[in-house]
Amino acid sequence: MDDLKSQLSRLGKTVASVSDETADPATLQNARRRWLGATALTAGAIESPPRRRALWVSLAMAACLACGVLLWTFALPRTPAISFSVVSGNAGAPEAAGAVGQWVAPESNAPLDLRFSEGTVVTLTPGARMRVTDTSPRGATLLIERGAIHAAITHRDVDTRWSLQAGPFEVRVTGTAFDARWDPTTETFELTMIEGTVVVSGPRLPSERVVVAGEQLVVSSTRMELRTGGAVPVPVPSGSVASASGQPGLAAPSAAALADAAPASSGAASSGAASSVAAAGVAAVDPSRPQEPGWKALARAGKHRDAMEAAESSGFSGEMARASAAELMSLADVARFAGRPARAREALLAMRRRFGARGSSAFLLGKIATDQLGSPGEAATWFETYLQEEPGGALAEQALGRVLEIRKRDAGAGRLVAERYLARYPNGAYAALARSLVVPR
Amino acid sequence: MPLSAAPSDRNRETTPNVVALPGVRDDVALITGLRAGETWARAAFFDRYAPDVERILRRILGYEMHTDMADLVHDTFVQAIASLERLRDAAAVRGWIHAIAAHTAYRTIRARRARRWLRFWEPALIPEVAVADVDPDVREAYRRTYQVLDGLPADERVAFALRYIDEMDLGEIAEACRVSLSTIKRRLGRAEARFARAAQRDDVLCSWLKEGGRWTT
Repeated sequence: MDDLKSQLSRLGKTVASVSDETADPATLQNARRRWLGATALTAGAIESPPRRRALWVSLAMAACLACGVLLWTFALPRTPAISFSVVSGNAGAPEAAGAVGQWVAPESNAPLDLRFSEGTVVTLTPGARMRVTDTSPRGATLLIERGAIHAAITHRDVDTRWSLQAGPFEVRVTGTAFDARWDPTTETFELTMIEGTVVVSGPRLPSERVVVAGEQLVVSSTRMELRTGGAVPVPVPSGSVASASGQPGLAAPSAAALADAAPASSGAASSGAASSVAAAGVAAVDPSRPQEPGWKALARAGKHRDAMEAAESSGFSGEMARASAAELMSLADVARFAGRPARAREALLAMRRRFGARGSSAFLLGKIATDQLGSPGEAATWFETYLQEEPGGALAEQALGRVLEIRKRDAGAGRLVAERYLARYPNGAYAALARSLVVPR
Repeated sequence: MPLSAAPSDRNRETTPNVVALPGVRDDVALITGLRAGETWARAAFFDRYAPDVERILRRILGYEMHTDMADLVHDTFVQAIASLERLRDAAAVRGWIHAIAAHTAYRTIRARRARRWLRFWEPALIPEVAVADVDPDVREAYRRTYQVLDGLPADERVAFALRYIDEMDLGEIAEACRVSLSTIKRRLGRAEARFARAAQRDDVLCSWLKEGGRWTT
């Protein structure tokens, strides 16, 4: 019998090796495209149809699909592809219509904006050169030849499709704001996520790589690193189109810089590329300009948007590096109230990192994640962190209630949180919700 | 060092703010993200386990017509999401997804057999394997092996393929097939005997398995 097993093992190894040879690399790519292309799936959101009805369901779906195709082909008006215009940072420069396939680059030291009809803005730093290679109703494909860009992508629906190519790298944009830099001479690609998520593919990446807000990916011929926790855009260069236009959400390119918030290394960008752009930002400050009120004075006056602009103008990362714990909290509040959640998150993380802040900083990070960044998973983790750090804190009931709200869609997890909540706060603000989730035994 | 990043990142820190790829988030964080419906979690979940799923499906089912492997891989992940709330231990994701892949393969075999009576859906034929640089004898042994496996009951075929082609140990197979260790041993014994009897009647497989001059069951 042992002989049979060993002979079967030998045959099995042979079969496995041929099987591996027959593996089609396109299989995983196709499956991945379908998996990520599907609408958001959560536990319990999918139900497998009973198998005996599968054939009828398939036929019905095929009929619906055929009707849909006919309707789409003959009846519905076609949505035009998005268009874009090119706006230079030079004062008085006219806005020009952009053309697909045409190279664009800033003419001088001023940045250059590509403004798309659906709201997306891509800003090129001086020295950068890129082109829009394709547009569709759902997005566009960008190609960076060299230099750094900042992109703020507008997501109108789940089918938004934007991608960025830089040398051999491709970035599929599922997030909203990021910096990217490509240096063809050193073959170095840098990507800093400010908000949302992207998927990166290219050499040295074993598979497609998801990069989320706060992370920086650096890939070159000699190294590959993913840095977390301190991805901080560098100051806005003066003369930025976005700054000039007064749109706080359209910060000028910050380069793919990782400004480590540790005190010893603050202010020193982590790569040569990043530091060069950071230096450009510092050099662009005009000393002859009249002194404007600092962000602290504006914050005290309750002028949060102005305070945020002032902090950006003087260099947000530098302000963070110089700030005390109380000032960091104030900076986080300014950013939150000015509608800049990613900046608020940076300030709060810096508080935790540099001053060991606990408790309320975790609660605020959870609040920002759920209310402003739309990231409930991260929010739940931060609220639970608050509960661990300050189990009897003033915000404990709120934190647990927030976790309950996030978990309520997941029947099992929601019930467990509901039981925890009711055990501690039977008359709390979320008690009614908790009771509705507790299944009678 | 003070806490610097999201809580789920604490355990993977090697040097401050710099971590080696991959291994950004552990399985517990992944499942938490999936349960919260986060996009990054869906992508990371697929990236981490799709190669395993594809390999298990391919090694159980072989290279056959009428089977779109990408569909099966996708179906496995959809089933995984549908049964996510039943996953008790988030750290046991690998065994759980292997079990779902094995069950997907099992269902595929059963469905294919059930529709054999339909003339326009003939049973999957074992085609020539389109691989260059593979010895013709080896290629033929591969083809005949799956031909014999086609004659085994679906549950025995899954167990046999996981044991001898995918080289899982008995505990892993029992977990993937969601049965006890003793059940899987009995099932494997039956599969081995059935395969051996069929292989004895096959001139190609017979010569592969008769090495040493013995052929015992």
